[in-house]
Amino acid sequence: MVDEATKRTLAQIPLHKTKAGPRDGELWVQRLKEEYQTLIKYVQNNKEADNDWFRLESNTEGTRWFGKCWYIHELLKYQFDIEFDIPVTYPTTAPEIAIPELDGKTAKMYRGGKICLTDHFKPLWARNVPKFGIGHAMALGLGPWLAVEIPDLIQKGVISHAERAMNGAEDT
Amino acid sequence: MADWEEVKRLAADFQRAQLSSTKQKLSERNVIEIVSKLIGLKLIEVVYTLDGKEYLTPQELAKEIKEELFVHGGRINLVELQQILNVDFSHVESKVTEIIKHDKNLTLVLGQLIDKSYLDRFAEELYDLPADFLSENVHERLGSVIKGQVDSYDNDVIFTEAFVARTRARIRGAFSAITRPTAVMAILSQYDFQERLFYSILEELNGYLEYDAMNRLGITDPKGFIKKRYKSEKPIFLSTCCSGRAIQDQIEASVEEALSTGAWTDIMPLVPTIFSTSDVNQLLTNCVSGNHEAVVCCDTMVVSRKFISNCNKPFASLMADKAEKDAKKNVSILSTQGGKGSHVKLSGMDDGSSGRDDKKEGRKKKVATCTKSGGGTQGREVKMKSTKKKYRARDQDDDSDDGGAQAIPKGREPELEFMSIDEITAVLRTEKDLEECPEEMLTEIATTLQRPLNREYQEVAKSIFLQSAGVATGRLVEKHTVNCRRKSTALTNAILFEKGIKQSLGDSSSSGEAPTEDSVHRSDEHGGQCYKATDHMVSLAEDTQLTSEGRAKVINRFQKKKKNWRVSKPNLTWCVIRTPGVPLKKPDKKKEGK
Repeated sequence: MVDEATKRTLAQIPLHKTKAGPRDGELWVQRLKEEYQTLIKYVQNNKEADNDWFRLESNTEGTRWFGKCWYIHELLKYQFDIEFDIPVTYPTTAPEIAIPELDGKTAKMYRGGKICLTDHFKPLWARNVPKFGIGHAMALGLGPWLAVEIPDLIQKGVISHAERAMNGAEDT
Repeated sequence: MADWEEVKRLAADFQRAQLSSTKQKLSERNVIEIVSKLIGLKLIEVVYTLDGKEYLTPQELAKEIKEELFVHGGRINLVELQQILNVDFSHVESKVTEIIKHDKNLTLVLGQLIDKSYLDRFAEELYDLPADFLSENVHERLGSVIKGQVDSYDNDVIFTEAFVARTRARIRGAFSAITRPTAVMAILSQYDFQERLFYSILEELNGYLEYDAMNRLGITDPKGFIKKRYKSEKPIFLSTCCSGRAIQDQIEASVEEALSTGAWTDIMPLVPTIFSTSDVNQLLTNCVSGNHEAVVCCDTMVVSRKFISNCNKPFASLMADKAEKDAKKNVSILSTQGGKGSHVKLSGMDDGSSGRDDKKEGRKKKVATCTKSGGGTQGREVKMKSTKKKYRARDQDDDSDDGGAQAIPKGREPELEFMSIDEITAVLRTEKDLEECPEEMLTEIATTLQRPLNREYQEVAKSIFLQSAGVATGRLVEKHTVNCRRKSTALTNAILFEKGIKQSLGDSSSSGEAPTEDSVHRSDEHGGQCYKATDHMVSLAEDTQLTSEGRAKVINRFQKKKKNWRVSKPNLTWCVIRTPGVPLKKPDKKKEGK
């Protein structure tokens, strides 16, 4: 259900201990620290493996996250903005990552550009509450989604490199 | 709110982590492809290591050379450098020469890269040490640390081995270039050779020293001088000169070659003309001593044992042929009372080998008596039996005549010679392999071969002879019985005839007697003759129908030798009985009665 590479990636990033949502006060701070540590580790691992594929930052409360992600297809870099809110029921409910600019371009998406995660992501997440966090959502949710959808969209001609180029250029 | 601060800090850390440069990772395969592409495009230049696992740019190579030089204290051998850097020697060498060009502090001496700092330190170390002390220490280390030799006349001069070798090579070159007589001094001055070294090397190159020549040079004790001068060389002192290692080596090599190929070689052309034959012989003996494979011939030649044994080959067939012939002749030899034997002796005397032959005869006699006394192998026994039978036959002869007349000693055959040395030489000369051999060598080989050949031949001849004798004995027995039967019938007949004659004498005429007697006589006689003939091993064809003339001849022959054969006889009965060696049954009375 999860490919070997993903499993390996998951194994290398730390799991969370604190079960707390944004409304849990001090515990949320604790949880947020863990989230950051996990993300730092995850990003470091990615960079070590020459597999950096996103930028992420949050508001001060850590409830709203935004950034970029990119996918390289046939030596071309396709970059997209991403954003998501931490749900009130987090970490029981997984965050819904959205790529607004692709809204309406693919069937694998809810209104507002929220990506439609695979059938097994949700049960997997549910099994791993509270151990999984934002990092895991990125690795298990967005990563595989991009890998499947972007080449498909490019092939269909829904997205072309030309319109992404400017976006990519300003970042790199 | 310390926790929020911490969150902020972590957020900042996270951003930093995200912004840090990604480690560019290329697989080894990709890198190799990229580099080979770059090399192909001539964008970079690389030097491969010997194992092919790494490459480095020339700049890196230069850097590494300098680093290694520093690590090794300012002095490093290029070969060592090559091993450390694991780069092809040519690259190291060319790079080093390049570096030296640019860097005045570096020098390349005898394949060693030396830094100026090293020389400085070296000089500092030697500074203010007294010369005596230095030379003493240098001498102490000669032959071990310092590879060189001290000039025996001037202790302050040391020749390194490299220098000596170089000088030797130059001298060799100079001398091989000489096409006309040239004064040694001219060469000496032209090439600027060290005079003493020059002479000693020249002598060395020649490989030998003539005592006379040394005397002329003013050396009164040549042998002593040589001993002192060439301690390690182990020269061989000969009668007129002293041979060096080079000549010995040369001789050894050619001897070895001759031995390994199973051939022969003459050493004479290999040594300088000044060497006398005895010198060469001395050298050669020295060389082959302890080597059982080699035989020295004619002083200067070496023949391998294999070669000699190869020489034996052509004789095998000759031997068989001759033995076959001789075996036949031998029969007559035996019966004609050793006439041939004495002849052989005479021819044997030509080369003075009769003494040996005599000795061998004596030995043989001993062997023969031993056999008689009952010892020996199965083969021997067979032999013994056959001889015994022969003896019996002859003994019976002796009984019947005056005996003792036989000149051949009993129990042995006459000495047989296969070939004379001259004959062997002649055969050898026709051999292809021996075409080039000088006459003396052939003779010497022939001499070596003669004895074993003779011995072998005698064996062969004996075995062939005994074989034929064995067959003859068999036939003899058969004939004997036939004869006995014939005789007894003849006897019975004779008696019957006699009786008949006596009875009829009174009334019939005497004319009947003659034919009867004659017929009895003839039938008996023929049998007797055949029998006798085989007995004496005169080759008479069995079925030969003898005419009365032929019969007379044979009888004559027997009569000459043995007086027991009577042709004239008083009466018939007597004649039959007197035929020797035939046991007679008593005449059958029953048959007589008829």
